This record gives sequence, structure tokens and C-alpha cells, in this order.
Amino acid sequence: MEQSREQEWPSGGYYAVILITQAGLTRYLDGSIDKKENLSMKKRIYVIPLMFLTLALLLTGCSSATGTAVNTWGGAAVADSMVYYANGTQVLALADSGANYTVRWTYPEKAVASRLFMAEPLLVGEQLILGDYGSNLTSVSIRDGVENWQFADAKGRYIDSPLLVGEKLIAPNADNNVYAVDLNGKLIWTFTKDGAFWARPATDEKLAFIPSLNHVLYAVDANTGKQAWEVDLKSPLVARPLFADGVVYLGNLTGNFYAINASDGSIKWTQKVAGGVWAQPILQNGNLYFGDQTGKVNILAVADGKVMGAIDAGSAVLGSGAIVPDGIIFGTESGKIILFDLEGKSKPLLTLEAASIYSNIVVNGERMVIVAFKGSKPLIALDLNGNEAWYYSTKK
Amino acid sequence: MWDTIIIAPFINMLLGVYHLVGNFGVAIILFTILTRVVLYPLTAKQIKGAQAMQELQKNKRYIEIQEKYKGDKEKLAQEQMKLYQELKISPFSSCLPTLLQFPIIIGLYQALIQSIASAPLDLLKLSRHIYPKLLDFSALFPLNTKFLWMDMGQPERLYVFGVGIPVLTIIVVITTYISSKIISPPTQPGDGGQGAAMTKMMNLYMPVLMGWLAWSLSSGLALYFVISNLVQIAQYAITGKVYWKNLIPGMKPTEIVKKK
Repeated sequence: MEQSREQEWPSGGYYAVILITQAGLTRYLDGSIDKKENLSMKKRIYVIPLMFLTLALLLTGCSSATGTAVNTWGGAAVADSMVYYANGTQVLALADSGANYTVRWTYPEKAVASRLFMAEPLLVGEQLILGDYGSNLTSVSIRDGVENWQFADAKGRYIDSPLLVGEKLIAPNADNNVYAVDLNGKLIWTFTKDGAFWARPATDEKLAFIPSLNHVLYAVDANTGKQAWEVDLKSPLVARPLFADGVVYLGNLTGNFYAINASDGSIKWTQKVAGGVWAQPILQNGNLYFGDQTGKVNILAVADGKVMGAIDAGSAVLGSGAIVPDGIIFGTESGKIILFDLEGKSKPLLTLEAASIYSNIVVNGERMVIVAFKGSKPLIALDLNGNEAWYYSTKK
Repeated sequence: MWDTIIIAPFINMLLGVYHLVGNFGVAIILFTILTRVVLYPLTAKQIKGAQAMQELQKNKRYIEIQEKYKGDKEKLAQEQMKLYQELKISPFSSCLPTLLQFPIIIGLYQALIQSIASAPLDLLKLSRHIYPKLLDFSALFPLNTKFLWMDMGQPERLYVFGVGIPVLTIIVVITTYISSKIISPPTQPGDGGQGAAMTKMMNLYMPVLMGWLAWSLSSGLALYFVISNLVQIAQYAITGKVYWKNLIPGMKPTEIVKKK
């Protein structure tokens, strides 16, 4: 992710600035530095308001509309030699020419502090769907980045992108609502519970399986928004679920992994893994592959949840992997990009210095795109062997 | 290091209080009071130091020195230092306790932000900072952040007939104004210049800045500002050196001094 201004200052640094200013001015007022200063009264009268104004802008300009300083990772989507990159402050459309890129457009043209784009963009035909931290769900044209419509009913952040079911977008929001809108941005239904919704749901085309931070997985009719069933999974759910062959697969933040029958919400099997699960598993050759917070890449048999392997990746694996011809590629918190073959043998491809990879790895044809948190290369385009083609950075 | 020594203990203490009371707003109130009480010895030193400096402004010799060495900064500094030593005043005695409080207050701020965990990275950090032997992350999270009409993770507005009134922001402005006003010493006769103007400006800017922060940031932080201000007012009141009459508009400075 492109580093937003919050990351350049330690959070709390702002408050420290206030306190130091306050202390400094107090000292000034109580006289201990008063007479040593050589500024004229006139100058002081201008300097102090300016200082306060700067402080106020620094402090509040770096916060999203939902209230707290934002410090997290962005995401990317790839299609037809285009990379759509949510870098925090903007979404960029980068035309991939193989060895380099050109910026086609940015949305919004100028960054707005209250609208931070962290959610992975979603491509729907000619539309790019963008959720932001300023509680807007926006559709822009993939051709020129011009806004098609905006849905602004939500009051919280869009942490992840919406799910497309038929002609509907099912968008989880941190304001405890899931919004279903049509492809013109018109609200169809709202599903409300006592818990924030962060992760993109899964679907069997009839039901949407919606994870919540309040530990519960909800199955909701995609057409009406009516709840079919719910199951308490005992810990916050931040990972996207996977639907396959009548079963929903999902891990929670205490490292319990579940297979749930999509018809009634009954639990088919459970398996305990070493750490919290943050991402959607990948189903390949009868096994589920997913990372966890302790740095293991887990391999579970899809039939019964039997542990087929748990390979140490060295540091936390939060993002989802991507399938490539030789296996599955995962990124780690210490910036490593590792290829795991389907038997679980690992091969390091590349290490991004001083960076963490938390976002999902995106692969399209021969192109792999990594969004990194911190480091000098926030977005890097590679071939499937891990050879760098180009990278994007505002500091370039 | 910073995380281990400051942030993690604060988060665990804050969430420990939350675990007992079950409401994040109440937990913030209790935790703020608790930390302010623990920091009271430092605050008291700071108040004492600041008051000593204020008293010094009225000292006859100090005024004389200012007049006498107006044009010679070096000599002025030397004479001032001499006077400080004679009167056993340290010009930084009120600064040091404030500096010592910084890590604690910054830690508290970060603990609040991380506990609210309104973005994935905050949640990741929170899950790592909780002591598993002390607290059960799954049982605690998500926190019950509803307090009165507010959500502690969101900026506060009380909606009346569709209009969002920032009640907490107003309270922050008022309490900040009161807390800065009552600790400002009354203006002395003939001291209508620089010092008085600066005090006036400070009393205006600080509430505006804090109000702006309360308006823009999460209500959990705004609540922290309010409680902090109230506890600070109480702590100043305990020292007996508050100037309540500063709050009365139209009261002439000389009258205040006479009535003191």
C-alpha cells in the first residue's frame, strides 16, 4: 500500500505535538521563556494562530470521516493489461506494457483526506467498484475513471470490496449493515446486525454467506436480504469465506477453521490451526490452502479437514494466495513471496525489503501483482517466477 | 520496545477495565480517571512549578532585573539564573513532569485507537497486544462501543430532527476553556500588554483546537479529552490555586486581585 500520511507520523505523534505545543505555550505564558524571546508582539499574534491551524490540519486531515487515524493496507485488481490499484488516497489505473506502466487515470483526480481507498477494487464489466473509508461505494468507468454513480447511504467504512451476485452488488460495511445495490447504485435491501461487516461474502448464487466481526456467519437470501440461517463461530470473522460444492469454508481469528453446510448452517467439520485466519482459502486438488497469523501455510483435506501439512513461511501470512501453474504463491509479513507446490514444498521467489505483504496476491495470465505495506515498492508487477517487471511508487 | 513497554500494558489495562464493566465508554472514563490519579504526583509538581514561575513575575527583584538589563540579554540571563538559585526555583520544574507524562498520554491515546480497531492493521496489532493469559481476545472483541447516544469508534453527533449536534465537541470546548481559564493568573494592574494578550489568545485557541479534534476524531477520544479536562480542573482545585472568577465576564482584573 502507498504510505498514507498517518504512517509517516507515529499515531499519537499528533497528540504529542499538541502536548508539547501546549507545554511550550504554557511555559511561555508563565514567563520562563517569555523575556528571552525576541519576537515582536505582532509576529507572535500571527505565528500562534498559524501554528494552531497547521496542527489542526495535520491532526484532522489525516483521519478518515469515520474518526480514527487510518493505518492499514490497500489492494489491487488486474484485467486486460490494466492494474487497478487502491493505494489509500486514490485509485490508479495503470496500463501494463510489460516492462513498464503508464498511469491512465486516477480517481479521484485529487486525493481527498476523508475518502481513503483501501478495499480491493472490483471489476464488473466496464465498471470498477470502489468502496472507501468515507462510507461511499462508487462506480467509475474503467476507461477514464469518470464516476458512473455513488451509493452514499452507509455510515461506516468499506473494508473489503463487494460481492457480485447476478446484477447485484452485496457490500459489507463497518456500520453493521450489508447493502445490496443494483449496478446503477440503487439500494435493493439492507441487512442489519449487531456487528461490523468487513469481509467480502461468498455465494452459491442464491444465498450470500456473510461473515461478521460479531463471530457469526449469516446466510442471507441474495434477492431479498432475508436471513436463512446463522452460525456462531466463536471469534471475529475477518476472512472471506469460500463456497464450493454445497459447503462454506471459513477460518476465524482464533485459528478455528470450519466447513459449514450451505443448506442449513450445520458444521460439517472443524479444524484448529496455529493462528488466526485472515484470508479466503484456496481450493486445489482436494485440499484447502490458507495462511495464518503465526506464519504457517495450512493444507487441509477438503473432505474432512484432516491436516495435510502446515509449512512455516517465516512470518504471518494474512493475504490470500494465488494459483499459478507450479503451485500457490503466498506473501508474508516479512515481505517474502513464496511459491508452495501442491505437496507443500516451498520455494522463495523474492523478498521485498522493509515491506509487509498483507494483501491478496493477484495473478492474471503471466502477470503477478503484489501490493506491499511500507517499503519502497508499494505496488510491484512480477512474472510468475518472481522476476520484477516494474513497480509503482509516488516517490519514484 | 515502545509497544511492549507502553502500548501493550495500556491496552490490557483498558480492556481489563472494559472486561469488568462491559462498556467501552465507561471503561474509557474509569481508565482516564485512574491514569490521571496515578499521574497526580507529576501533575502536582508541574502545577507547583508553574505557580512558582507565576509568583516570580510579581517578585520585586525580578521586575528590577528585567528593567535593568533590558538591553543586555546575556547579563539578564545570568541575573535571572542567580535569582532562580536564590529562590530555589527551577525554570524547568514544571516542564519535566509534563515531559514525563508524554509517553503515558501518548500510550493512552494509542491504546484507545488500537482498542477501537476500526481498520485491519489496528485489529492485527490489538490481537498481538492482548495478553492471552489475562484476557480472551475472542470474548472481548468486537467491543461494545455504544455509550449513551454515541459510538466510541465514530465521531459523535446527537441527531435532533435530522440535525447532527456535536454535543461532546461542545463539552470539550467548554471544559478546555474552563480548565485553561481558571489556571491563568489574574492580570496584574499595569500588565495589560504581551502576557495578557497571549493568555487571552491561548484561552481561545486551545478550546478551538481541541474542539476541532473532538469534532473530527472518534468520540472515544473526545470522551477522553472531557474526562481529562474535568480531572485536571479537580486537580488544580485541590491545590487551591484556581481562579474561578476568571470565568465571570466583565470582572475587572484588579477586582479579582483584590478579592483573592
